[in-house]
Amino acid sequence: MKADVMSIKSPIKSVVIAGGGTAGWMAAAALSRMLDSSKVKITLVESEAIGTVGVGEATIPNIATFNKMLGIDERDFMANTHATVKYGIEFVGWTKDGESYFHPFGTHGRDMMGMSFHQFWRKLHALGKASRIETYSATAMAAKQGKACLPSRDPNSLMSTLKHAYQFDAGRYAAFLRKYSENNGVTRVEGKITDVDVNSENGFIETLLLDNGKTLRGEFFIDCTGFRALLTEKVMETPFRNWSHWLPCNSALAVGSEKLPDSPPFTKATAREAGWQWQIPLQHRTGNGHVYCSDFMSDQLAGEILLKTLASAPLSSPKQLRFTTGQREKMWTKNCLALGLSGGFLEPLESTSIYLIQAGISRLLALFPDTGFNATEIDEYNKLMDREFAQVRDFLILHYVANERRGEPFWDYVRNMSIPDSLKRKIDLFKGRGRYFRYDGDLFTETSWIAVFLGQNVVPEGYNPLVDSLPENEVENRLSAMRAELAQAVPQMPEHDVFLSRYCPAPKSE
Amino acid sequence: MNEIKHILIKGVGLAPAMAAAYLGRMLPSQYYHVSCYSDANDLESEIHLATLHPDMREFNRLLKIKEIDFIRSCDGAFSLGDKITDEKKHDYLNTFCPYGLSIDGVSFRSALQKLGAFGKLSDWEDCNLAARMARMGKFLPPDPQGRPVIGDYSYGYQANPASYRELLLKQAKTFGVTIRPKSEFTPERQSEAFFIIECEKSHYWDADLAIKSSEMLNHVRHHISDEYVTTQINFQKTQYEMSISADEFAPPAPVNEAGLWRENTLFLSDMPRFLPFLGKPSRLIQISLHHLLSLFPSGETMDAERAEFNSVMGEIISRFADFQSILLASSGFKAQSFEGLSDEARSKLQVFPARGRLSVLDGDTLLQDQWISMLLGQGIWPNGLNLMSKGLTDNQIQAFRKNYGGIVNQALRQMPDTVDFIQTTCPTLGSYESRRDVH
Repeated sequence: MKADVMSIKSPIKSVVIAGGGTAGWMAAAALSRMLDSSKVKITLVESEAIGTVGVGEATIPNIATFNKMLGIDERDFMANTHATVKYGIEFVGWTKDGESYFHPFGTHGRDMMGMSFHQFWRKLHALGKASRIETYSATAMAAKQGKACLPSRDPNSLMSTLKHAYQFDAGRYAAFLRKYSENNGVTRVEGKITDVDVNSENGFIETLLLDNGKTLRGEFFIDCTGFRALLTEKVMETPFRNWSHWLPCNSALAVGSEKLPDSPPFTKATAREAGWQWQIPLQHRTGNGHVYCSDFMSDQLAGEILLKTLASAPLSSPKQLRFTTGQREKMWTKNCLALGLSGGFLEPLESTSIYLIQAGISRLLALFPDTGFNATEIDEYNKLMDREFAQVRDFLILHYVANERRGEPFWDYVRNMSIPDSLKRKIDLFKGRGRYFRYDGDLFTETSWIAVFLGQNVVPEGYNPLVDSLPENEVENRLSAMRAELAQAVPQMPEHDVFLSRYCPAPKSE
Repeated sequence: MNEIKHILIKGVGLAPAMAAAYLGRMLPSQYYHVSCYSDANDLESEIHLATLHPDMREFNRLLKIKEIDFIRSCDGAFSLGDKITDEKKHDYLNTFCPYGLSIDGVSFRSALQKLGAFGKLSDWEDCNLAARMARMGKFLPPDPQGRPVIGDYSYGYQANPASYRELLLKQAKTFGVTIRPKSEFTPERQSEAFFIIECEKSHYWDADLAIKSSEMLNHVRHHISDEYVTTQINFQKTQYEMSISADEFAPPAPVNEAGLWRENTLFLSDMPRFLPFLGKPSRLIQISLHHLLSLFPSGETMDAERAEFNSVMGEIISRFADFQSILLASSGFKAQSFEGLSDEARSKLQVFPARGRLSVLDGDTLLQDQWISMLLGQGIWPNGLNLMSKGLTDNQIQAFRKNYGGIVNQALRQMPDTVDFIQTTCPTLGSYESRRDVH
């Protein structure tokens, strides 16, 4: 055989994770689950003196796969992280003030004749014979009515399409995974990284020096030091791919507030003058934050807006965050892999921060190196992660570019900015006859894209001509039957808080 | 009154018949009328379309063609996969069936590697029910309840494309499609058409075809030497060998830069010429038609749909070209060398031999296990273990294999021989040639 074949070197014997927090402990948990602790030593270094950003209190459904891989029981996880059910996101004012829409995780209606439900819906809606698309989604209707339960096991029932993620306390999730990891043999070292020794010949990281005099030698380093990117930026000098021309928000103010009387099973994202505001209900409190672009709004005004619009009393003063949207040009350089915020940040609008950590870990597990650190495998990893980031980026940009908030400088800018060709192609295709193609590995489903397209008033001019194969009255009957099924089933679901108290109550001592 | 749009299909062989039946079935008749100007093809040119991917079962179901009618009228036999042989009599099977089951989140492949059992091809093949069925000449459709192992495999067909063409055209007629011989086609028809599907002969092989004695096999055989690729296709009554020499073979060229869909015409003729590995040539026609329908235009403007279609199909065709290229290059087939491989194919060839890793890319319509079977079968072996199987002990893996093997053995014991199954359930109406003579 003439093709170049990678050579095999000795296995990695020591992995050092720099930084705790969500990314650090997710990596530690996954590696400790999959690597043989008698052969690979995993060490995580973190400092209690350094706070964590606690990124991504809201998630998307994929996190269930990660927890399953770790063998974590859903009820146990939800109770320990004070989690609530998240059925999707309600977007308020993103087209214009007074308008809102819902992005559900579960599908809209039922497909017919091998064609997407929304194609049939589009035809009837244009004729005034169908209500808003979310009224055909069990997940959206449950969310709107503040209900929650597990999906039905009957595939013929629309209630089987219920799909949820979680809203949880990211600090508690990190603590939960820390316990899991330490039980699995991970060593936690307390200390601040003050210096890094690098091999002068090949530029590989060899040792981390800590403020307490300790040193940590390793063969493979995972940089989970957050926005500081201590290893990736300061040692490896990996350039950052700046996407702030597409995603210009660069600041956030976050504050916890008291628990809402009836926790809604969804995240709320409300458009503001120069950004947007989140509301994430947990079992014990509510997470809030105002994401904005400092070129268009002062920090002071952003803080005032946040506090003035909270739905419950604040528990502390808002905490300021600064960021630049984008990603590292290479997530993995030599023997250093950037994970979490050190690798990139795309703002929390669709709760993808934790997902991107999960994706990074999953790719790492598939391409875990040996001491040869083969360039082809590293390139493969970087290529796959570039694709993940670009997909999420395009989906986020869609929320901004398709706004109708005219006369507000921030919204005027994002509506008129140039967008990536990949997104332009998706929009053009959808605008014609509501077509959307999901490629292998695309994170967001057709339902997600359709919900946001339609929610942002990107309405197709027509529909797939094949829809006309089914007589109009037949389609009308089927859609009516779907609504009737939901009208009967959803009110019978338990209230969200009641479901939580039965299924996964947070420990009383907390 | 709605304006009726005319869809014109013209060409020879199976592809226009597939298009006519599918579009006739799916397009609403109050808005579209489909006409097909088509002639039969020479069997020598058409035989590479005689192997049908399992997805063609769904295609037939959609066209309201019952399996029993299809098998009987097309001299059909089942196909569990392909057997590849070389000059040294070495052989392996590549099936439409996954290998083993994942154990506690660890893929069966990784578990086998941990056990060190990846050293023999037979260890890999033993974990594939369809491969065992193919070697033993057994056949039974997968468990309709979808139970693990006995419900996990799939099957395609080997069927006479000329008979299949006739069946499809007959069905197309029932959907209101106008069927005419090519000689009745006039240029005016083309100018009146809203959309055209062009299936002229250029993408077909002109293969050397030899008729051998009848033998019932439930898989397709390919023998690859440095000079020839010889494919043996089995119908119920007839068996053919198609032979392509290295001199005639050209690696599949990239699709025309402008794509298969140009202006208002889908040029199925521009589909690259593939050898009949894993039923792919007919499958690619089917995929093209499926994507065309998903993106079917209703107005004069079709730029966005066309761009999406060409992009998606370009990826799909490239991935299969990679598969065929690696297979032939690693077989020493003179007309295909490693130097001619795409970057994606070269990357696979660098990564897999290290620790058995494989990324499935956008547009890859092959199962991951089909890639792995091909690479292992071609002698491209991982040198190292997958490190991600900590949770499993050797005893656990051995116990799982034993249990899995037990289920496979029990299933095999209960299966009839392929010949008996066919004779009992769907015997042919006679070979295509004999029926034509009668008429």
